[in-house]
Amino acid sequence: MTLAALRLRGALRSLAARPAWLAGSLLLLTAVTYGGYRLVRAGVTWIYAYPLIDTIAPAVTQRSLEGLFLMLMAAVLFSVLVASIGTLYGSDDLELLLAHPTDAARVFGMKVLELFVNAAGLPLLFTLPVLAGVGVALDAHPLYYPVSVLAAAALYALPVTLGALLALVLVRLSPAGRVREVATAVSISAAAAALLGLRALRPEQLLRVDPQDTAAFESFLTAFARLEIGWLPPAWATNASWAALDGRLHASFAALVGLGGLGLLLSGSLAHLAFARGWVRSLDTAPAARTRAARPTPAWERFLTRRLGAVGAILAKDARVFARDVQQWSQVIVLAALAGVYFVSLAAIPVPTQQFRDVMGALNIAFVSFIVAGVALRIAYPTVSYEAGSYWLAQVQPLRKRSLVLAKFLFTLPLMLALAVGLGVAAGRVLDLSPTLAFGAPLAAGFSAVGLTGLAVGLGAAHPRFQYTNPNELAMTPGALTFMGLALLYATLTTLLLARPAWTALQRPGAAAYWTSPEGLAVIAMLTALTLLATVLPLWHGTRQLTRFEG
Amino acid sequence: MLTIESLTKRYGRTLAVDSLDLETRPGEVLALLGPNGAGKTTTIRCVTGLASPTSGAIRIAGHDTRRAPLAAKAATGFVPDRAWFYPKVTARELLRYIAGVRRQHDAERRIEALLERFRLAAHADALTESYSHGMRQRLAFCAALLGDPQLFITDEPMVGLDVQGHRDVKKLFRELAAAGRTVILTTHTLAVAEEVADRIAVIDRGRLIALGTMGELRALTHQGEAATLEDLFLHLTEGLGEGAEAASAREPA
Ligand SMILES: Nc1ncnc2c1ncn2[C@@H]1O[C@H](COP(=O)(O)OP(=O)(O)OP(=O)(O)O)[C@@H](O)[C@H]1O
Ligand SMILES: [Mg+2]
Repeated sequence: MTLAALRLRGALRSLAARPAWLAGSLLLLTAVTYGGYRLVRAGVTWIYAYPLIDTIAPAVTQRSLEGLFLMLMAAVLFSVLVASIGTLYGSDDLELLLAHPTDAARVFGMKVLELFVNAAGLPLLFTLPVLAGVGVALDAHPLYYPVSVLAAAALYALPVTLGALLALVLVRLSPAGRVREVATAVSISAAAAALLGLRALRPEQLLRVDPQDTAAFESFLTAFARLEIGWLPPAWATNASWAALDGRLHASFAALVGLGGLGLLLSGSLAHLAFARGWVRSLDTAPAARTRAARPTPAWERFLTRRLGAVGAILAKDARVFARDVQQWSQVIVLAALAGVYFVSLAAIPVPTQQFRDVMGALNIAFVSFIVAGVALRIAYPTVSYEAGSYWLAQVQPLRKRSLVLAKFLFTLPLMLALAVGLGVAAGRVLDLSPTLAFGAPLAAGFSAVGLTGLAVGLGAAHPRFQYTNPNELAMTPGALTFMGLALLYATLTTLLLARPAWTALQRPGAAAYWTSPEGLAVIAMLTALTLLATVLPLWHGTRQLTRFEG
Repeated sequence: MLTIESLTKRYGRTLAVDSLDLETRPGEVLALLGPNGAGKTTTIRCVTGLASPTSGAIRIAGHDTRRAPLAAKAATGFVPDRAWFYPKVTARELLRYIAGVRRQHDAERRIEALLERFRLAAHADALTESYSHGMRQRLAFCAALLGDPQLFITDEPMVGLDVQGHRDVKKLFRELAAAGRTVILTTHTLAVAEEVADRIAVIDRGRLIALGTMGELRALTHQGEAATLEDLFLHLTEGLGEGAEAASAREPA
């Protein structure tokens, strides 16, 4: 596989160019992986040691594993569709590779492998510590480790196949030049369906039981243990892993690996066929000139450029591109779905007392920060890289990189603020929080939006990637991992700062006017300082790195 | 107008430009010639701010590109060899965007004139993703000329242009020079260089090996009046002896 070796060497070289960041990201990744492993190991050990339920402990563990497999499979399916069109049909290197006397089968073999790594790599990475945790906690037979990893890989190959086949159909059926748009729309619907499916499982049922109330908890676990999905592939992977615990090979293992391998082979050969037939031509951008009526400069654009100068001009341009590029605005739909599901779940949780509601409200502050971080990764982090192949234009204009980065920050901020403050206010309503928290939740969320947007845009500018086949790639770069690490740190710090008012609210529910007391003002001052730091420092760093960047 | 002083640019171990000195005058068209990999594009990238020099100084209209990059860029118009634009923006919107970035608030009439001149008026309201290579190239000319630059630089401007486009561009170069602007172009089409350039600079392996008018180059290489630019060019780039690329390119396969 000299082609693959060449690819690998290129990737390694680009990583080695920034050793400090690479080391940092690797460290972070290792820490997260190890943390996941310890957590799973402790959890499984705890379940098995729980009195009276040892008979259903294996079933509970198996069902949990199945749930994880199912969720990650959905994640793979979500990312594979758009990725497969880019990788299998639209890559810039394809024509070059195929023009050479290389075996076309090998080219597409490598492409399918690339697609698999692209779509299933991260989910597989998440699965490893879980499998290891289960294995170590249950003192598994050595055979368990290769079998369970292979089973998981084969499992994730199934959605990759499905995505590749769907992509093939889309390439064939979509109106010419609209393949990416249609693919994005289909992925969004798939994601929304997956979210709704998750809702249907009613995860908040988990919260209805009190672990102290042993009888209720046991009946819950028993019900959970009986929730088999039997014939579905996630169950096959679980069964295969389970049998391998005592060194046995289950029939479902062979079925899974066979099906997964066959699927990948099929994807490769079909992609080859599709390409050979020239369907790739329909991937070219819209052939017909879509003419828009000539209009004088709209008032909003004139206002922006006159008031904000270069920053305003970039804002106007980005607003247009955002509205017209499905890959950009569609991210917002995913978010809206996510926020919706979050609120329906929140509203479904039974909240008997004000105190319990306030505890939920305090937890909610942390959750909202995490959601905002995830959203910033999708919406704010890529903004500088969205300049893509047109970045040269910004470089040769008399334009400060500071203005560019600032414009990206200002463009994303309203969206992030609306989302975060909306989540904060809605949580206050839904949970009927006491006044201290009802004000504290949107306040903290607003600060998070500012800080995390600054962090995301700044790090995105410091690690620009102007060549990508689909924006999903950007969320998996070393820079993005660094952002996630720092965002978690920031979210943790804000939550800790907010713990104090939350505690006060719990102690003295009736007490009003916390936020105008000296303590409340001090908390606000510290939040402001922390947020300023999280905003200004990354933006400054990003501007500096971008100034030094050479395409 | 443009002054380059001992410009050096390294990419790791590759020496792309090697202490290059060059000075241009207002009102002249200068053709930058050289074999593949000679360092023409790299020199242009340093001048336009797409790359930063390893050492040396560049001044455009008196502004040092390191100390006053904005003023230097404001005086420069650049057309790359493969122009790419935001796919979801129309030509007119793109030009308005550039005017906004440059703070030219009353550019509307100039934009219309440029679109007309480069035969893009009919497509001005179509998204640039639907443009052909040549149309994108013509849009790049509009974008570069919007700020009425004193220094106009193009890298392989003729690639992708149709016959009419060739003629338009050659005419444009002469017009700009007549208006006192400086034009720098790189090209492998020596006939173009011979036709439009006042002076010719030949670069090989990062170094300037010859600079002058056709007459001066003939004198330098001891060639007669009949010698074409192609003769001079090959003589110059081969005269350096071990000119591996230039020599091997002429070897029968
Ligand atoms: N980004 C880069 N990284 C590493 N090396 C580079 C880079 N850009 C250019 N080079 C090297 O610098 C040298 C000069 O390249 P340059 O593109 O300036 O040549 P050129 O004169 O424009 O050639 P051509 O006529 O083919 O366009 C070459 O050896 C090239 O390999
Ligand atoms: Mg070049």
